[in-house]
Amino acid sequence: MSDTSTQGIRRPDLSDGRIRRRYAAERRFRFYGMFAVGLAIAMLAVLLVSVCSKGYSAFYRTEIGLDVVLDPAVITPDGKKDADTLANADYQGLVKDTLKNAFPEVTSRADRKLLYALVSNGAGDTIRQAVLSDPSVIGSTKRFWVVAADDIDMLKKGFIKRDVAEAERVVPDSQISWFDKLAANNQIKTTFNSTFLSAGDSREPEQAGVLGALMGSIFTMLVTVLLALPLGVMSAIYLEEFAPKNRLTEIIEVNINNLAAVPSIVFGLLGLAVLLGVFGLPRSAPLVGGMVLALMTLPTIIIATRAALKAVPPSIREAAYGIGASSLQVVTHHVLPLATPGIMTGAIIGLARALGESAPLLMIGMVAFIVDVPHGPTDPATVLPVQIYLWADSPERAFVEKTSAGIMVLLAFLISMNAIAIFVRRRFERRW
Amino acid sequence: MNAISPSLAKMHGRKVTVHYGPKQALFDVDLDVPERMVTALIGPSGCGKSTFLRCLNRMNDVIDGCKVGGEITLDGQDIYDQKLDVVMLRARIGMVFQKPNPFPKSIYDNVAYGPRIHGMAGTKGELDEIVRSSLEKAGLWNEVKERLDQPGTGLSGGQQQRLCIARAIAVSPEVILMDEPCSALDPIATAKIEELIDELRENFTIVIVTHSMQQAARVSQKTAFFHLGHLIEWGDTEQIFTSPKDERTQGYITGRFG
Amino acid sequence: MLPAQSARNRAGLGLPSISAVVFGAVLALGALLPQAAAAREQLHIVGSSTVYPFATAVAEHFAQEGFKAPVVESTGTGGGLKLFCGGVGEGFPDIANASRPIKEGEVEACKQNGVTDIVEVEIGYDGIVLAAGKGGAPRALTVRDLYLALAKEVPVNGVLLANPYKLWSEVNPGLPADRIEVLGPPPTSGTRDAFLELVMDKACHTFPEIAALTDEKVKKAKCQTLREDGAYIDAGENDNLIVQKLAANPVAFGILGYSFLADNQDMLQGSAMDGVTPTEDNIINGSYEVARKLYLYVKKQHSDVVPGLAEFVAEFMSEKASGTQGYLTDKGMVPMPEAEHAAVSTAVLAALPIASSLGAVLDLGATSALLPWIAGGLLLLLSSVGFQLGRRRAFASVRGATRQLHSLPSYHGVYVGLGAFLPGALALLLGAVTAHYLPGDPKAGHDVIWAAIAAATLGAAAIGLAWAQRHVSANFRARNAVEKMTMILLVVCSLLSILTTVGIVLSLVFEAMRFFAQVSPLEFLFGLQWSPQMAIRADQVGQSGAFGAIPVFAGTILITIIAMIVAVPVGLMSAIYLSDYASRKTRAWAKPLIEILAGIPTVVYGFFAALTVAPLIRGMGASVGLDVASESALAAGLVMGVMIIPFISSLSDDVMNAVPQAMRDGSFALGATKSETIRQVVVPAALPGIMGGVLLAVSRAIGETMIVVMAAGLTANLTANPLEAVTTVTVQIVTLLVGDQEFDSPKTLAAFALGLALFVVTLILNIVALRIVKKYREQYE
Repeated sequence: MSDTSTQGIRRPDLSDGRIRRRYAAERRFRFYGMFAVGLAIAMLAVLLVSVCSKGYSAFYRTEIGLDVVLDPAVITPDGKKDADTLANADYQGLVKDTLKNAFPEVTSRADRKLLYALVSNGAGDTIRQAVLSDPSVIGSTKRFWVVAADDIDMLKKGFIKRDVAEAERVVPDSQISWFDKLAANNQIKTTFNSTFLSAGDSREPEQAGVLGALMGSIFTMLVTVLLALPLGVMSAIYLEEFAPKNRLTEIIEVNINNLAAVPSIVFGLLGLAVLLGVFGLPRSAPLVGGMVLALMTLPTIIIATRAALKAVPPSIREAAYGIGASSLQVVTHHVLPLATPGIMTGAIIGLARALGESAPLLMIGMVAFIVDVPHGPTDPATVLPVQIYLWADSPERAFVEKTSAGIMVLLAFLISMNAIAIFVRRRFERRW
Repeated sequence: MNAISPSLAKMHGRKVTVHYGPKQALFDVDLDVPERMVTALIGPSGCGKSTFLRCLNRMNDVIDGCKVGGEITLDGQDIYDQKLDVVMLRARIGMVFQKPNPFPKSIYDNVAYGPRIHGMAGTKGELDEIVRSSLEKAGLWNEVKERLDQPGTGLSGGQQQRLCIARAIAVSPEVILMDEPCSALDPIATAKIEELIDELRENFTIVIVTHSMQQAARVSQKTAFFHLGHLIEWGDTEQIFTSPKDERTQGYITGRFG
Repeated sequence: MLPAQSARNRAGLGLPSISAVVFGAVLALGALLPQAAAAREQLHIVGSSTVYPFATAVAEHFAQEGFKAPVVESTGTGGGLKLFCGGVGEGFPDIANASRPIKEGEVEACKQNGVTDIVEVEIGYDGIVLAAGKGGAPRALTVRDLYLALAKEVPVNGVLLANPYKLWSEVNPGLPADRIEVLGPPPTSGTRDAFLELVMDKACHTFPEIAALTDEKVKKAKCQTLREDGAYIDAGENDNLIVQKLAANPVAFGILGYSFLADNQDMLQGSAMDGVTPTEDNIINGSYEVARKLYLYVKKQHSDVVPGLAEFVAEFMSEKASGTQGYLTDKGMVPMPEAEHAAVSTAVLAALPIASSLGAVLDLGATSALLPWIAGGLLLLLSSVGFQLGRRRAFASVRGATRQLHSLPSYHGVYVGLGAFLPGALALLLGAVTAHYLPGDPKAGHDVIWAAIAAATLGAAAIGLAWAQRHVSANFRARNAVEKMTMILLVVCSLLSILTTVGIVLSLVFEAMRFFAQVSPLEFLFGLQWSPQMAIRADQVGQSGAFGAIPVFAGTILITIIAMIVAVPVGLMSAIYLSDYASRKTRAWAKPLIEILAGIPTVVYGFFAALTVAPLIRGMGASVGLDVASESALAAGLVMGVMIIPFISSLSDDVMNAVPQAMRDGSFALGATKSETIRQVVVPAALPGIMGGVLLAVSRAIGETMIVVMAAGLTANLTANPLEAVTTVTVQIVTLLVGDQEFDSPKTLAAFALGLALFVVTLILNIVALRIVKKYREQYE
């Protein structure tokens, strides 16, 4: 031992100043932590609030009430009232005539064009449907509430400011004055925008809806579930329960972990080169999109399933072996049922991720303009996130609220999927 | 109970109780820790001896739901006083744990950690000096002086434990608490630690929890016997081991239970 | 498919039911595949981005009249014609939109693939305009000014030199001294073709130095090659994007179709060209000369392949669509004069008569589509018959005394069922593949082929069933046989992940090899210039193209670094606060809230970055006098950082929790405060694990696509300034592939080379990161 007496015993510096400094540092550090948590949550709040505040207005729309003369000379020029004639009549022309008559002072070609632009391109549809459902109305004058054009809708909602100089405003003064006149006559109203939830895509913001993309997403997810769930669960069962520990299974394991972190766009390239290029599958189909997303989700499901299988205590396996069950029976009768809640939770979370995914789908032609709502996984379709991407890229001001509203629909789906996952976990998951 | 005179006692415990949530772990323990002596706490598993030890430097604060009652003083000052700062307290009362827990840093940094946070060295030279003398006191200097920059986790179990002791004495505490410091070590390493404890007694007040009655007999001057959360008996080690007053103590040291 | 089972048999239920689900799923998809390749009911339209808004508008009106709405893709005129000329049949588009007439080479290519009957339809005009944001003063240009400003080589004092001009005033002293900055479409675009011909070519021939050239090819190359030093900016296929960029940058010009100018009168102003302003009237009467016709190319051979082809064209050419007052004029198309329009529509109606065969086409489609389903359904039926048969036979073989059976009856059932299913499914699959690749017109004989396939499927299944059920006896080890088959199935499933990796590697490597056959790997890896504007058709003169990927990688790294600067401190500090400071209650709600950030789709972040964050940063920059690009790396990086926060926080939380409590105790016992313990003991101890987590997050940031596609730029600037626009690997992959489907131009192949680079880099990061994390875990176990 050393000679301790040669050194004076040093005491820790416990002076008040130093302790205070240390505690100040402690508080600062704690504050940084709180700040970081606050920042992250604030970001989330800003994101959600900005989306919702931009998007809620897409759920209602402006309509213009017009007293349309259902002139037989326009609707049935040759006197026949067959369905074909009624369907193909120029109803938009009727709407335009009504506007022309309501504002007789508008005469120049350019001004007329602006006047007609008050109503949506699809305004004639409202009348077409009324006439088709009851042809006897032909000849009468009826008030129809037709959808206003997107710019007018924006004006009504206040996104297009009246106090901006006319040259910098999409809606010219003339249109505003006509609009005000209509409003003064109680010919403007705001209603729930049912089109948004019941229509496919459109180039006209006021006619665009999410249903097409929503159905596309559902079909795509259906294909993904059908492929990824059985394949993922079976791979996991093999790897966790049966696989011998050798070089091959080791490679498979490393490979699965890596696949889980491969950028999603690379899966899109795989789909483009193999599914479209080699197998010649159709572009823009949910079937192909579902396959690509299934390959992407597979590693997630495998990893989650393995974790769920691992959580089943060995004692249960031993008990089953003890009464002479084969190894496959042990797994299918005992382990798998017990692991099901865990597997379901993992699968739902994996699918939620796939639902929000868009990059790989851009690679396989799911970015087309598709009006019709798809009826099956082989109909051309797009999906919600891609629809959001398409709308976000559109120049019309009105698509900003559509995009945000589309995001709200997508988030609602994701939240409900995650809620189900949490419910399954809370309700069924056993802890040993 | 033969309380020693307060002037000799470094720490006093009066009616110390501990609750872990709803469960009470210690019942009204009165114990004095005499200065510059080794006090051994013995007893069967779960008797509360480690819990009591951890009360002495408020390590129980870290545990959720742990509540300490009664009074414990260091040099007459209540260590559970609101005004008393736990950081300052722990600078005066060091601790060595059951399993050696060197930080994943170099040997040098392990020992220098305490002096650094407490601002004990103004210069690099002073710090070097503290590290050297602490390692010397812990009897490790000659074994590690060539490789101070290597990780402390690379040492053998016994060396690691001595490193932890060096780390504790580097901040020159007044009391060192040792929680079964040898239970993870082989007999040779244990012998070295015991030897070390005996030497440290000259400068430090030591409280040691041990499972081994032989160890308690070898290194301690005072011994306290705990059972089911109660302090059954305490006094001079020799007296406890030769003529215990309580029959439970008698039963334990003769190996009838525990 | 499974009948009600006795309690005795239920023990064997697990396995058959799982197999049933799996086989059912596989079969359903198998049956969908041929169906997908079969009947297409709606028109498929590809081509020019200029015609795209018109085609989509007509498509919508067409749909309102009761037809299936056509699917319209914006692929550029060149890309569209390439797809269009790919062949005849449902797999190929019916109509190609073009903003220039089809070229001879393209007609030739069409012929080679059997597309012989093409109808050309003129639909209207589009002017090419030079537009600028409303911010600047209106400018009058001449085609000569433009040529001198934009050509790669220009005549200077009698010799052709690399373009020396940086400012408009150098080109023409009458113009202001603004930087030359012109955003224009890429080589696949018809707008660009038209610009080269109507402006560059025209102006260039007025110079004696060019006229003196004798070789026509050289002449054309000199006239039509645009400069590549940044004055001309390839702004991608998306004209809307150009509009937005112009609005943000008053000195820049954009080369656009007139319709975009018309659509965005409030943001843009057109420049007069040779003294004539671009207006609808000037374009119709021909005084504004930089105008071109727009076309549809219709594959007449498809009139009986897809319903509604002639009707769609008739709608397009109707008065209410493309007439002088038609709805297409609202979309910005310049209509033909009335007489011309009438003449064209009559001619088109004659060339493409509206047939009455619509119903027949639909009928054929319906049965054809059903046949594969019928075949699949019959197979399932036969398999379940096999299951019943096997079970009954097993019962019968021991007269109901099932204890004498080696295996439960249901195993015998599954054995026989599989015996029927496997050969049947194999036959179905092979049949579907053969039918798909059968040469010739797939529609003709579709029903015959599928009838044959169905027969073969059922035959194979019946033979298999007969063979399998002969095995059923008391001593037959049906369970072992079934389990062996199941085990093989399980192994095959787990090999699928390897197959996926192999597929990824092969597809990337294969296409990348073809790229590297044309572009040296050294140039790709170390080249400092990225402008993939290579001529994609033999008859088109384009730029030489540069494929140096360094600026692209640098952009990726810049954005990743910004993201990490946000995510690492915030993520780490959040993890520390939540695990060591926050009360249990706070943790319970704060942790899931932060994790929501990871679950939000990236397209939402992209929208947020482009619409909220980028303008905010731009505004803040402007208020302190900084010039921030509208698509700054900062905006994309910040938002990506927010997305990454939960990855870092949950991973660091994991690893810090793995640091044993003893370490913390050791530090506390020395009198360290909590923060001292965390900073000096816990974090250093957890550092390898945290590093692993950060690496995983980096790999994620590098591979992230949507945020950067929506919020980052397209031009590959080699810069470290976060306020400038940069591009990333993923952005380039998307822009190179979306809207241009040719599989042989280096431009497209470059996407695969980038994909390969991306895959390799993220793979290395992942392997290293997972290794580190694993090692770290083992250290404390």
